[in-house]
Amino acid sequence: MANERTHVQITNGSSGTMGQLTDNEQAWIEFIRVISGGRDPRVTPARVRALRELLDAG
Amino acid sequence: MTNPYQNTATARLITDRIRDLSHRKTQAEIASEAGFGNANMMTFLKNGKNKVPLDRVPSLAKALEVDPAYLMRLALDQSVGATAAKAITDIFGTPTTENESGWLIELRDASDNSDPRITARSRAALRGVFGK
Repeated sequence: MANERTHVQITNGSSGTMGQLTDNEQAWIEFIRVISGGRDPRVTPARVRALRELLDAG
Repeated sequence: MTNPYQNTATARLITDRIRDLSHRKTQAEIASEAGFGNANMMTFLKNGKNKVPLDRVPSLAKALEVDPAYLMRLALDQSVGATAAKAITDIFGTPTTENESGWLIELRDASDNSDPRITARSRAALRGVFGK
């Protein structure tokens, strides 16, 4: 299922389901859940910058 | 057992949110918004006497001002147990919150849709990003 991808539906409330994600995307989200202690961290400019730097570094 | 759901993540979340919202609305108002006829229901949910009825998750999430997908994950665990909840989410998928969808969009955009694997280095960096 590696690269199988569908869009994630975004609504005012909850968004989509993990069933719509690739295995790799599920791994990213599950790791974020674990390290954030389930606090559902917001997307902030500083965090996005850090994510981009991380991905740019390979 | 008097309070079988005491100290579950769901009970703790509800306790925290009622406290956080207390300057704007009362516990009785939250119960009413969530559609509970009995205002004592919020106390029962906080102390773990009752579990969150799954059909009330959308209205309760709105009343508590939390993401419904997040509350559903916790309520499902509370309602059917961790093993059954995992079986359900394995089949139907775990609901993702609005914030998580935001992260997915950023991840896809930042990686040019290359579906990157999460590496040991990524994990270490993410711990830094989220302060842990």
